Amino acid sequence: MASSSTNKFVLKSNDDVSFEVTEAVAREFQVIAHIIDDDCAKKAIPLSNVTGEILSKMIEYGKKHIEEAPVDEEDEEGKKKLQIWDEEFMKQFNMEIVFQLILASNYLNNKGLLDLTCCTVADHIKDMTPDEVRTLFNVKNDYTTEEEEEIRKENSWAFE
Amino acid sequence: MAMASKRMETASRDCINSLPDEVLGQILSLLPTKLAASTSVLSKRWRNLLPLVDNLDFDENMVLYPERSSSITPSSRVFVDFVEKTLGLLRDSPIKKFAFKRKSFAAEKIESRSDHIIYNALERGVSELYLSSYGCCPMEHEFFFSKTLVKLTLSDLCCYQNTLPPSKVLFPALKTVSLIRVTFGAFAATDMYECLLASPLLEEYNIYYDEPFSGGWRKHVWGSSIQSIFYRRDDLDSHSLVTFNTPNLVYLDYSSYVSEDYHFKLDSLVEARLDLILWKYNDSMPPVDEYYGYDSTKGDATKLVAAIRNVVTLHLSADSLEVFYFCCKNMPEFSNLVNLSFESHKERGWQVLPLLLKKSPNLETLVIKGLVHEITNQCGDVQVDQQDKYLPLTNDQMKLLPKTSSKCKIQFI
Repeated sequence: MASSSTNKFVLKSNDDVSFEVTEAVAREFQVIAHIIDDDCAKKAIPLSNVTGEILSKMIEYGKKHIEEAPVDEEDEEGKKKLQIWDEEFMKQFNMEIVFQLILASNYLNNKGLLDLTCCTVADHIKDMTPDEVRTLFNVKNDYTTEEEEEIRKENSWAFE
Repeated sequence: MAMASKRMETASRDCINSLPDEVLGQILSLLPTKLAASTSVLSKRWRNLLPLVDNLDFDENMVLYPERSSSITPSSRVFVDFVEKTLGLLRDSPIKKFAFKRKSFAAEKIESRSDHIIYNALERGVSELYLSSYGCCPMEHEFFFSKTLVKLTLSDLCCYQNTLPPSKVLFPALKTVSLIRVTFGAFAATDMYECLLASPLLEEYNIYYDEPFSGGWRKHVWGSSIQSIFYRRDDLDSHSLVTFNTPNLVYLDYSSYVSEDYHFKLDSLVEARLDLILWKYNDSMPPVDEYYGYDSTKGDATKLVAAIRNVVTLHLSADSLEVFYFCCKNMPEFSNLVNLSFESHKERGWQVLPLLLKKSPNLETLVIKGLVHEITNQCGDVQVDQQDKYLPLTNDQMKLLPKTSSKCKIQFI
């Protein structure tokens, strides 16, 4: 049996871009790891919810976290280095891309990237008013005027 | 071009709308609770996201009451109202982190509602609890108890307990306890401090006390599971004895005025960071103070220094160097010491250095932080050349420092 460092898999995005990755990188994504374990990964693995642009970024993240993985729990320096890389990595994206990365990492089940992207969004909106959050998330208000008044009264502490 | 950007916008809006509830809940959990709660006004879907928030940080100081008077009771009531309502919106969903920070003590009725809030949070499986300015009231074990709590931080409060559970353990899973300006009722029927230290899995003990004129807990830490202690206190309360009975302690960060005596059992210590201060540098106290029961001339760190003799890494403040010199009857052999660093200060002497280096035969790295040291009249034997007041920069001194070990590297940072 080939070892996971030499075994290669092809990941294919929904716009037909293919990426060849090592098994270790492929396994960074839980969903793909399950496909490999179920032995359904003979050919290219199609990922119907992810574009090539997003997939390439996710693979870049997965590779880095395989190559530079901290030696063990105690490896504070290694963790710090990776954390700095994560921060830099996220800086290149606008919010649209961040949201797409969230969706894709949720879909492919990569907890590290999901946590990281959620933090980026939280950081971005932490000083916003509810109305600004509404615009960013494109939330349609489905309350009646009375209902909304009621909610505001109920949570008056949060709106002061 | 406009078309493309329009399409892009629509695509991204669709994308945002398809974020699953769990993911939105995760994002809300990372926000200040006040903002997270305020998103309930966005839509019915968002209102229902609140139960997915598992990290709650209620901080009364974040609340502004523009139209209200500054009197304490009504604002505390509004705050407690809000916390109760938010917990209600969350229904019975589990909570991981819960912080409840009040501005000050409140009326009795508010206190008992606060008790209920904490009880409610603990019941939902909180693993991290942060309580601040909670008050000075008994915490009954029926409510202040949790099998899931891993990390407990108490700040600016006084706690005592009238009854303990039969096992004498309130938090069987507790690993980290941090006490910030906390006092423990000395006359309570049972000892809350003792009870926290009795947590069988406790690994990390942090204590911070920076108010000179109040105290109320003993300078005594014990527990065979404790691996790390952060100890920082400037209070003037009795300093006759400090006791650490922690045989498995690996890391110690200790900062305080020098005590009269130490009973330290630190057999496993690997790294120590010490900031010991001579009482003479405390401006606010006379040399002998009968009220606080201390005599500043009596500091004696001999047993403390002996207890840390097996460390591999040692960091010393400039003040500690003087304590090592003036308050230490004999210097033990630091046979495992590989890394030593110390800080420089204009008015603190380095007279203990030759002895310390002589007693550190296996030293490999010596780090000197800052180079502001000047020759003081307390430098004693170390002083060789009055012309050169920056002691470590003289060649003679540099040769003297590493003489004890040919492998020793010296760094200045």
